[in-house]
Amino acid sequence: MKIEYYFPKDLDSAIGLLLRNENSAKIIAGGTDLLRMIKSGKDNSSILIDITRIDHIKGIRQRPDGSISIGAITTHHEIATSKFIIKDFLALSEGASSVGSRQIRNVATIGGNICNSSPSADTAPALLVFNARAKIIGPHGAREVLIKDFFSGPSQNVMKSDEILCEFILPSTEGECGSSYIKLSARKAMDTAIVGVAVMVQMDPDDGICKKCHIALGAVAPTAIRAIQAEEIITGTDMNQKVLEEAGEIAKMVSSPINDIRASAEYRSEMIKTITIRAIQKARENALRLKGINA
Amino acid sequence: MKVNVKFNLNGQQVELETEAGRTLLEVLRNEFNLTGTKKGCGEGDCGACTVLLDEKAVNSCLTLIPKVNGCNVTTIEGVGEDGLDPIQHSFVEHGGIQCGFCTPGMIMSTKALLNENPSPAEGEIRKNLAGNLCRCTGYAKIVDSIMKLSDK
Repeated sequence: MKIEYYFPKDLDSAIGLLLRNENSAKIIAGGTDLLRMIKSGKDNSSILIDITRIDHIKGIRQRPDGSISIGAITTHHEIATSKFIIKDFLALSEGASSVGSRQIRNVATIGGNICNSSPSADTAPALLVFNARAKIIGPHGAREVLIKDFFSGPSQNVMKSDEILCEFILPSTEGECGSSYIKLSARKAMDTAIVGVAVMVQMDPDDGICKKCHIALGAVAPTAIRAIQAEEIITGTDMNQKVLEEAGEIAKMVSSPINDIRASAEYRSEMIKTITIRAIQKARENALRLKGINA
Repeated sequence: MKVNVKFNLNGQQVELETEAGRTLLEVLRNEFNLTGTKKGCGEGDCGACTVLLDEKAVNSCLTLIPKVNGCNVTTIEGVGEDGLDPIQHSFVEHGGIQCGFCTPGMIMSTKALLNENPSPAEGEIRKNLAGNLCRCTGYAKIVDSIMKLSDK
């Protein structure tokens, strides 16, 4: 491959390189998606700007206001194994953990996963249920975009060609929320989701009523989506099986799965209901366990 | 674009001036004659190209050579100080090798795992090897070889 390769020391230098080489330059982090696309001819970038040596966009830390910052070049493995993410944002750990293989997760990043903007991206549903936002830096400064407003279509997002996604910010869950991500795929690993569901619930431990419920679906619409109408069915209830079945039906109705090589639209549609119900149950168990109650 | 890359390869400092667009896999095999690392798919799916980059298992077919500048690279040739590494010995003893093509990748992935966790459960071993495909063994004896290691 005929490539120019640069390691800018900071984001400003990286943006400068993007500006000077419009259309031929791309940001590379882990490179596991990008290199496959270059090798297969789907991407013809000839200038790669490697941002993995810019330390301040890596890692997981708590911000002064209690929210959580995840650097864009944090790897899936780091997120999957972070004790803090496992405790307070389990669905995100589970999403990251379900990507590819250990070799891929060792270098592939959450920033890359989101910037690639596949409708089936495994970290997207979790970021949606946690109301995450992306901090994006460009030549004119920084802006923040809610993940729910970030994707504009399959493999499309609102970023401009001279911008770099540098950070994800997640409001604190204050240790109050249980969550889960379930990925349905043909193989146990190394596979794209046929259906991906993330759920976050906050329970009242005394009466078992659901105070808050967020549901996000991946791989069943042009982008990952929140299933707001399904959430509304659950909030304020005791999350009995009938309510969950209803929520599953609504999740199915608000999705628009397609036929592709992995599954038929019909199968996906059926599975949206099944997986949504399972993910809600697991999130609920997780929420109750956090409160020290056996679910 | 030519790049100058300095890295530690199997315990030795090396330096190379070469095209930035070459993969680590291709450089290892053709510049350093380290042919133990195999090309199976070239797309990061089969794991035959697995090496350790700063002690982490990676697909060398998806690693462009500039990325290893200043890093430690370990290939199968760098495993086993005085004869076979215990992992290699266990694979031989317990039948974890048939044609041998996947074996270097399996060993490298396993080495990385055992460095982190010397006694992994079977589920962890299998998850760790999800990115290493084997067409011969059905994985049973590979997993066995690794389980028997941590018994010791």
